[in-house]
Amino acid sequence: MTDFFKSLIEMLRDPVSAMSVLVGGLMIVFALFAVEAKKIVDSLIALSAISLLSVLLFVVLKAPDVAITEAAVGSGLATAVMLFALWRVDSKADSDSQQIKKTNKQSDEAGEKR
Amino acid sequence: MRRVWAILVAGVFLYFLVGQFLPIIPTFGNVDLFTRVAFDIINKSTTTNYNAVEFKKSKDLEDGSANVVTSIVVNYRSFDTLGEVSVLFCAAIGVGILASMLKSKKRIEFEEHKVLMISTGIVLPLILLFGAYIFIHGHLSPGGGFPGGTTIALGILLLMLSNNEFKVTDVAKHVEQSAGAGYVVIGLMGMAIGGVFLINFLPTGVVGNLFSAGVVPIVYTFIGFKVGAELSNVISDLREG
Amino acid sequence: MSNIIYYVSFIILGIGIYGIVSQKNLFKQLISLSIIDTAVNIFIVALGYVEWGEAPIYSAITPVANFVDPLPQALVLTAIVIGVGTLALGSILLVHINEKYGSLDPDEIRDTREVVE
Repeated sequence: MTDFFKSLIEMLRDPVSAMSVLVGGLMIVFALFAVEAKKIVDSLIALSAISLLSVLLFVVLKAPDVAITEAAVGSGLATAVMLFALWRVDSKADSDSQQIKKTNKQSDEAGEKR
Repeated sequence: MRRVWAILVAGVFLYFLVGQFLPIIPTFGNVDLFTRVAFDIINKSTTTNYNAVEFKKSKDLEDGSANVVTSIVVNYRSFDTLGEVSVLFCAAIGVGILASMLKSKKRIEFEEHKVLMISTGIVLPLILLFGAYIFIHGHLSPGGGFPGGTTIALGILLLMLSNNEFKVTDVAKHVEQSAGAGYVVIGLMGMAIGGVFLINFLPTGVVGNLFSAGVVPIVYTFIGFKVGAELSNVISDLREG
Repeated sequence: MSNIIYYVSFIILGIGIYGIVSQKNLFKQLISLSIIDTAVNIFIVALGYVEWGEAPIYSAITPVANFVDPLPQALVLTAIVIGVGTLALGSILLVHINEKYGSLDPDEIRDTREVVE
C-alpha cells in the first residue's frame, strides 16, 4: 500500500503530471456541469472556464503560441458570439427542463386569455 | 433511455481509444526528434546542409525568423494558412448573409454606465497598441497574426459595450478586402520573382533582428488586419440583426 | 503511468460525445461539439512533447536547440481558429431554426415538419 503512495508521489514531482492531475480534474468537473446544466447560460460560462483551464495545460506543455491564441479566441470571442446569438433566441426555448417549459407555456396561455 | 444509449456509445469510443490506440503510440515524452521531420525545420536545413543556428549571429539562412512555429505557419506551410484565411472568410460571409435575413429586426441595447465610458477612453488605445505589437513581432516572440487580430476585435467589442450608438461602418469591410487581396498579391509576386507561389523573395537578415525573415512580418501584418476587421464585422452583424 | 494527460483528454472527449447523443436541445449539442474541439487540441499538442525540452523560440537563454516538436503546435493554431468560425456559423443557424419552427428541440421540430408537409 505504501509502495503505491510512494510511486504516486514520485509521479507527481514532474510538473506536467502534477498540473495535468489538478487542472484535468477541474476540467472534467466543469465538462460534466456544462452537459447537465438546466439553463443554457450556465453551460456557456462553463465552456469559457474549460477554455481558460486548457490555457494552463498549454503553458506547461511548452507551447506559448497556442496558449496566447486559445486565451484570446476561446475565452473572449467564442463566449461573446454565443451570448449574442442566445439573446436573439426566443425565451421559450431558453432552458432545458420540462418544469420550466410548462410554467412558460402556462404563463403564455394565461396572457392570451386575458 | 437516451442516457443509456449515450453512455454505451461513449463507452465504445473510449474502449477503442484507450485499449487499442494508446498502446501503439510512444509513451508521453519519449520522443526521438532525430527521426522526425521537425529536426530539419528547427535547424532550418530542408534544402541546404546542416549548420547549427545561433541567435543574432547566423546570417542569410533559408528562413530567418527566431520563432520556429511562425516559420512553419508562414514560410514552409504558407498555403495551409491561405486555406485557413479563406475558411474564416466563408464563415464571416455566412454570418453576414444569415443575420440580415432575420424577420425580427431587434437591436441589442446596452445600458450606459459613466465609469465604463471613462475607463474605456483610457484603456482602449492601449488594447489596440498591444494587439498591433503582437502581430508586428510575430517572428520574434510568441503570438502572430491571429491573436493580434482577435485582440483588436475585442477592443472594438469593448467600445461597443460602453457606447450605445457606436456602429462599425463600411471601413472594416474595405480593410478586410484589401488585406485579404494583399496576401494573394504577395504570393503572385513570389511566383513572378522566384518561380514558386508564396516563396520568400526578400532577403532574410540576421536571426533575431526586427527587420529580418523576409516576407514573414509583412504577411503577418496583413493577416492581423484581416482577422481584426473580420471578427469586428461578425460581432457587429450579430448585434444589429 | 506518466501518460496521464492522454487519459484526461480522452475522458473529456467521452463526456463531449455523451453530451451530443443524450441532450435534447440543439444549443447544448453545439456546446458539446466545442468541448470535443478543446480536448482534441490538448491531445495533439501533448503528442509533441519531448522530456526536458524548451519552447521552440531562439533567444539568448537557449544556446543549444533543445526544443519540443513545433509541428503539432502549428496544426493546432489553425484548428483553434477554425473551431471559432464553426461555432459562429452554427449559432446563427440555430437562431434561424428557432425563428422558423418555434423551438430548439429536434423531436418537436420533426413533428412540426410532418404536420406542415
